[in-house]
Amino acid sequence: MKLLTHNMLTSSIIKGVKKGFPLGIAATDIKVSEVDFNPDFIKKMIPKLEWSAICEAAESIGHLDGLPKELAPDYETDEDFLKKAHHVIMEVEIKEGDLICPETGRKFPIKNGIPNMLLKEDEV
Amino acid sequence: MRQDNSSDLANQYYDLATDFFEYGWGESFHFATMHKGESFEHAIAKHEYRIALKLRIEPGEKVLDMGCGVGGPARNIATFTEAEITGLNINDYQIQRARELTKAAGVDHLCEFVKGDFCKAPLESETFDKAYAIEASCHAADLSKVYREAYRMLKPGGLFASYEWVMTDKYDPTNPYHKQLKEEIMLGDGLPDINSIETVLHAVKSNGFELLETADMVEHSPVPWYSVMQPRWTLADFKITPLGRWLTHVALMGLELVGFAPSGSVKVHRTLCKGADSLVNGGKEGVFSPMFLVVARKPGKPTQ
Repeated sequence: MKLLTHNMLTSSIIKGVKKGFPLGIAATDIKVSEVDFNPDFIKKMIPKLEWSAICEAAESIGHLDGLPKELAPDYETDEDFLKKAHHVIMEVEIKEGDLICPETGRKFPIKNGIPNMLLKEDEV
Repeated sequence: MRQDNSSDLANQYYDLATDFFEYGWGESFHFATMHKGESFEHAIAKHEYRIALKLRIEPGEKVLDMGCGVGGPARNIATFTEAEITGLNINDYQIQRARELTKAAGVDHLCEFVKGDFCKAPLESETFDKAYAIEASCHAADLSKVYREAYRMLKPGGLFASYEWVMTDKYDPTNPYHKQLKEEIMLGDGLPDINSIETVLHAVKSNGFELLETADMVEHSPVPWYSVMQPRWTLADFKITPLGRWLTHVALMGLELVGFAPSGSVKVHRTLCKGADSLVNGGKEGVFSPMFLVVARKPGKPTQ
């Protein structure tokens, strides 16, 4: 699971949970692999993301890797920034671990890169 | 052990069936409009590209695939559009398979998968530019929930498209043969019900969508969509039809399972075959369509 996907997951499906975002991450296996840099794709993706949640998540797993926490107004023309953003949202992958509901502490296991967000019937 | 628990058997069988579907049918578990001389693979891809066309998917958009199977459509649409696709699926085996196939195809930078329920999706509201479901919403006990969730997760101005399984307006519930066909399809494909077109349109509108387009794509298929499941005359020909290949494998699997649980496996095998026959018969009779296309828009001004 990339941080791009983490950025849209919520635990608000649990009965009583209001926001459920962003989910905490307890990663046991992180893989960083090279992905071709496509600046146009990253430029289009950035405004679609909750930037603070991206940075918070990256920092929590020790992979902020120099990414500025504030979006500069001219980020679209800042190639260095776009490359760092590309690295954090596209190249860092959580293979094993848990996602954690910020309100209840309920854990959602990540197995082989896929978060299991399925609840038991009595949790819905 | 399989014989210890019948639900384990069902689960094992379902997991195995995925492999056979994949072998016999390909990586996209759906039907397609067919034209003369067109290969099955081409027809399947075209059916998926139609969704991309109707949704006007652009590079860098965020797109949700509700009920993504092993990710065949997601991979095709991602490579076609260069959009970022999130596949949602409730079945563990299928979704693991989806990830493996996506990695092998080298498109894992564009497709990610989340295990979850599309009637109560673990995804943030107003997140996706576009969303689609390909012959998937038929598995929901309440179709309205699928549309409600699609609406919730789309950004204002976002588009949703779906190929729905429906009983057409030709379906007459007082006709015993029609009723039998419907029940056999439900049984053979493990469906809670098959919706009428009216129910589909109600689900679209009652959840706030603006209906942009509907079309029964069956009417745009010069070669019947169900012809891929019809056995041909010779055994050699039969084996090369996708269904033939699939049935061959189901039969083999049945043999393999006989040692463990004869009654269960035979029953499931028979049910699947009957399901396929009833799809063909439902298609011939014109009472059933697996490709009632719905295109809908969430009102509002598009945002980033």
